[in-house]
Amino acid sequence: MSLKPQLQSALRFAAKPYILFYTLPWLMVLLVWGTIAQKDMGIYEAQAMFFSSWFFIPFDLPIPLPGGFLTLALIFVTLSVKFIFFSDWSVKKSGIILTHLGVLILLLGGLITAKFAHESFMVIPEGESISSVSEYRERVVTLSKNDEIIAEKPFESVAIGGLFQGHDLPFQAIAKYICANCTMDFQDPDIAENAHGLAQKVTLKNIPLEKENETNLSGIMVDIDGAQNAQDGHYIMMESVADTITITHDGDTYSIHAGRVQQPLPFDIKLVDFRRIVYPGTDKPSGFESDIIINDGDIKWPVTIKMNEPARYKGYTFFQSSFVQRPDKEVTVLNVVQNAGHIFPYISTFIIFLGLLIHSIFKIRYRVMT
Amino acid sequence: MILRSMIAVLLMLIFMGGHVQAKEKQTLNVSGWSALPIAHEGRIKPIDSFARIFLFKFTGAESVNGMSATDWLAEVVFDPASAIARPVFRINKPALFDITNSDTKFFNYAVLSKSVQAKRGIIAALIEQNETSWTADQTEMMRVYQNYILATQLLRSLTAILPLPANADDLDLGLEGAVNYLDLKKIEQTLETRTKSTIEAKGADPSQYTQTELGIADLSFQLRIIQDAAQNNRLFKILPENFNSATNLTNWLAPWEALNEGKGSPQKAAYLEIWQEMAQGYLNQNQQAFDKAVTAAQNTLAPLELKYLSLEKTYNALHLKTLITSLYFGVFFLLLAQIIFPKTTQKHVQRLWPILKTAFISALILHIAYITFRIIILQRPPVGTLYESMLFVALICAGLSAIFMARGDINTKQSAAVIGAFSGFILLYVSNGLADVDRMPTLVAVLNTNFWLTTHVLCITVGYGFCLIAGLMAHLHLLKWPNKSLKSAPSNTYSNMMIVAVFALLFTSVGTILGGIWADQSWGRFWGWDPKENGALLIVLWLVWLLHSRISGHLKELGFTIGMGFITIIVVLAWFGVNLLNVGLHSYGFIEGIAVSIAAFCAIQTAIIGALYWRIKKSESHEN
Repeated sequence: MSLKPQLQSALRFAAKPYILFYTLPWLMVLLVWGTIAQKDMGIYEAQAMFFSSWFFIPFDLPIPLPGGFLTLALIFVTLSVKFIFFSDWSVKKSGIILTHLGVLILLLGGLITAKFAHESFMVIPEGESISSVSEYRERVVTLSKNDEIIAEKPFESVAIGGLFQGHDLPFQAIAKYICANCTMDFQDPDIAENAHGLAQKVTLKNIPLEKENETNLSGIMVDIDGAQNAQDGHYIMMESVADTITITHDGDTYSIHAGRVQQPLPFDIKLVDFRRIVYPGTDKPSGFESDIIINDGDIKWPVTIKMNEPARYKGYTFFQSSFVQRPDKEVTVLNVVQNAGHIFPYISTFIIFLGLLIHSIFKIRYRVMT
Repeated sequence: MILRSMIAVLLMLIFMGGHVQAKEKQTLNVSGWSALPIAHEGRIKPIDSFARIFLFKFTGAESVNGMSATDWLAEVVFDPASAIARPVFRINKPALFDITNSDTKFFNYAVLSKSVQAKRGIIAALIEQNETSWTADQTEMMRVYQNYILATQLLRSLTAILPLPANADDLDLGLEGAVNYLDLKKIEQTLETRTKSTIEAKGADPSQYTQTELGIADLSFQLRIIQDAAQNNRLFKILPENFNSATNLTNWLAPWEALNEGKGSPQKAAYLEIWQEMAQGYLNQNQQAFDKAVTAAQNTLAPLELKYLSLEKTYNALHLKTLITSLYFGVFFLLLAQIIFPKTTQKHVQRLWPILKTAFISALILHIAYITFRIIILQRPPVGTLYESMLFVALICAGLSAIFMARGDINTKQSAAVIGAFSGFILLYVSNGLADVDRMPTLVAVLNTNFWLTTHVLCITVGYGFCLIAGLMAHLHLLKWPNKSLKSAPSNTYSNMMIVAVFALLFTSVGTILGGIWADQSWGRFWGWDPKENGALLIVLWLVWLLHSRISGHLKELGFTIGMGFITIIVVLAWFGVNLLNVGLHSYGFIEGIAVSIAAFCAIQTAIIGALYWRIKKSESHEN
């Protein structure tokens, strides 16, 4: 038995229409199920479970069910085989051929995006420059000596009774309370006596996690022991509120910082001005704009980022995401995306549009003739 | 709140004592005035639109007891003393405010104010609560309260320039004749000093005062009351910040906003003087003086190049939507009668067909005009809100049906007409339930882009229209399922449905991908499995599945038609259902309170398709 008939038979099997007949309804089931689940699980968790998975196990079922990746992969395979080996390469079918090509490009772009796209954000106060981006979900606690990081721990690995000891530290930093999503409460007056900074007034309290992980505000209550100049005592670190403890010892400055993981950028971005434009006579925003300067060595590129008008530079795309109104200045929040597959939807849209248009014209022509 | 109530009553008493008592008067023609501009909710609109919005908010209608919205508003701002006696405030459950033995649901401002004051404790507690926790009664109570706040602001809009019931002739203040707040404000220091010295010399008992002293104390009192009542009065924004701006992008202020926040200017003062003359003309029932002031106001604002205010006024007056809806309904009703009772109605309907066809085409032309009006007035593509999407999809459905009416036999034409008229009528009618009081709102920042509104939004809504027509054609095809034993002619409806389905796929798929590209431009990701995105994808997948299954033979004609019938449910779920989840980045589309309606629609659709399927199967079993 030669390989060729076997291959042909395998290809014919892979191009059978019933694969699409059964996978499409399953994809629709996943779509409906995963959409409704977002109400309780949040988009990120639901996406991970239903759409970005090969298999998933709902309700403790004894068998796993096919996830979005597997379903889409099956559709991609059957469509590819059908397209390459069994297409009717005639003018009459050119619309269908183009449409199938467009869908394949779209799915391929989706695969590249799912595997390689990376999303993060930047918070830049007016007049300041930032040369790193923050991760949305990963959190870390870092220990720096004179602005140089000497140790770091993922937030999830911090345990009560531990944090930073050793590392040639002249003092100990001990985690006394950890919350993955914190709120503040009034501090006990007895504890306040031996507390520093924000801890003199408030204490942290754990509250249920938000559905979207990036909206949680993590925090740690820390005891410092063995520091000089009455710096021992209780401290608080909480994301976006008071995220750094600073201790000086023998002329060195030690910083303990809790927050999102930072990734360096190969350039820095300065926010010149942020504008919130409102409709006449109202506070209703009609647009948000950030004037930034990208500084990359000798290159200084002034650009304005607006809603629906991002800035692209060296594979990074910067989007106007949000803003913070501080008492002293405005702060812009930019969404930063690296996505090698971002061009695919643009190409596929054009091809699918063309394909379906040609197909529709042929349909009408046939209808008129008959 | 007690203080606010007292101020409200005192203020009205002050103006009641004025030139015009609360009596019926000849209605002045305020047509010219109603075309003057006002900024409201971020859009510069004619006062006519502003008046309709607020009267509708208060009464649920755009006129009250034969009085037009503009006549009502003119009375409210120029003659508040008369306006407070007019029963225009609808309270759906008067018992909530302890109003019993009332055979009406419409009350005047005085009753409204008293009712709200009586419940101030409950209202204060409700304000502290989350809106979503309110019961239906509490929601009604808060609606009435909010209307009371708005009405109070409206009544006080122009109190700075309205004449006061005081004559300053003999008071040695350098003023003559009728005075208003602005006149008194100029001599505020003198009034205060002289009132203070009178009190120091003669005590607080007014009976000891001379006529002049009494007059000065009265003016001082009135000045303070009006001033206190005008805090945060920002509703009636008739003053442009910059009178020489070439565009209408300048900020706009309410008179009290300009006065209290130090934003006055010589130009604003001059413009307010014109309004003062308008008020005087209105109160004296002097049409000539009133019109002269209106013309002066129009001339003052001429450099602003405010376009389309008259067009919007015409649009308001035409009530096109009601007319179009009625025409669609009439055509649908008569043609439906023919489908349900063919033997008894066919002859009459055939005779009426030319009229019905003309009525349908007229409705379609008016519908196009209606959407065009909105595009010109709003200066943006026709779809930016859920409400607008329904207006546009209705047009697509009717327009597509008109294309099918152009060809084929009389049955095909009438089938197309009934589908077009039904979809046009039902979408326009249901859209009323989703409309805000302001039916021409400004858009949230992320939607404020004409490019994407033109490409993605129009493409996807055209797709919705094609899907609905394909779905209705499927229903009709099932209803008129060919009786094989009678060898009836093959139906055009089925082949038409196939073509519509292909175009529906074209528009929904391209529209969905364009939406992804917009998301990529706006949020940095092409696809986020957001409910709105998933809803759009669901329609595409359903169409792809149906068309491929039909081609591969997995679905026969009946299965395909039934599947196409269900596209109406898929579209409604994708269009409205996903917005109920309140999840994701499409927050501007979130809606509440229609879950039951959507569930009922899905159930009815399923029952209809099920019944039609059962009928066909029963008929086939008889044939066999």
